[in-house]
Amino acid sequence: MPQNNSNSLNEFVKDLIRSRGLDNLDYEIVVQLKADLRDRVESRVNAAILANLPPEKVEYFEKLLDQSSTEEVQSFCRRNIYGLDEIIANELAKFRATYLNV
Amino acid sequence: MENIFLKSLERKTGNAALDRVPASEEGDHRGADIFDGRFADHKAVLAKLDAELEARIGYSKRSALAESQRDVISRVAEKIISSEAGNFVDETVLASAVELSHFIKVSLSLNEEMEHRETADLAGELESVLGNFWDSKGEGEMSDMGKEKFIDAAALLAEIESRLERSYYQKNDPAFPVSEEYSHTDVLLAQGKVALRKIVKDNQDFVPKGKSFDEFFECLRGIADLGFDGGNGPARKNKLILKKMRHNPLAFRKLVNMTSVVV
Repeated sequence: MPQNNSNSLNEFVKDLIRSRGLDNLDYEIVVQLKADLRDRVESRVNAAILANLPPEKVEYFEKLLDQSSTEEVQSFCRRNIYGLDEIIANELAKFRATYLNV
Repeated sequence: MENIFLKSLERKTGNAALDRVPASEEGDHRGADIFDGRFADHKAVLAKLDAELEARIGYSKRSALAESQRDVISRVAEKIISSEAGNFVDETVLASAVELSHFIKVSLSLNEEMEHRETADLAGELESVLGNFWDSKGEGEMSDMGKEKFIDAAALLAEIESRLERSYYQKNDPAFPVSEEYSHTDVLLAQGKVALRKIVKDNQDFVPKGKSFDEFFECLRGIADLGFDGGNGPARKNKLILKKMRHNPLAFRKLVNMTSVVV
């Protein structure tokens, strides 16, 4: 079933924490854990996006990050990275596999 | 050796900032004679700041630092400069910069000391520190950790989190062989941040003036990451771009949320 709800990343992280049985910790710890995991997942995905950008586009991409809107950055990534959805999904799957040791 | 604080201020504001005279109680004096006097004072304060940093970090050490390491210290200096009201460095800023340079020095020393220790060993030490904290926490009470122990714990936390990040790129890192270690360490890190944040709430002077715990921790993370360009990690140029991507989370979080592929 395709996952395209607006909060996929938060749900992904929540599911990881639940799968490890960590959701019964103190509320503040769980909030921090979610924030940390979300940061880490985002870092992985960002690294994957950057790694799959054609080298000749990287310099322009950097300028875009300084000057452009969120939509322009997203649109640039979609236009210039072939199979972006699969790349992101693979990165999430790898992270999940490592975290859950599956 | 260049004065990194002066360079930071110039980078931030351009030389024009040094041409301005701050408003005094009598009004905004821009007379050339007063300007020259204040300008000389301003540079003198920056020179004093730089000397203080040198005294703590040491000229020989700074000259031996890699470019990436000097960059981190310059960025920390920029944060000091940009966090204070106005563009001029006065004794208040000097005091907080001295404090921060102390943190830098302690962190650098701790990092050197920690460099050759196993991550599991560091995690055990952090666990012990936090265990003492949680054990002694009564209802509404915080344990009296003390500023030095707080800095040690924060630097330890930063080092462990940095290694956790690095381990992704060094897949054969013996410190993180299985997922149990990952999630156990994650919980430890979360507990540590929650604990230290609470301590700062009751002890504002444990972090440099005007800084939150999270801003202070980000500085320590930068120091813990010093010189890491190893493994299959991103090259230094890419690290800068990744940092910009991180500061643009909406753009990339939406890409993840929009992905239509099953995970």
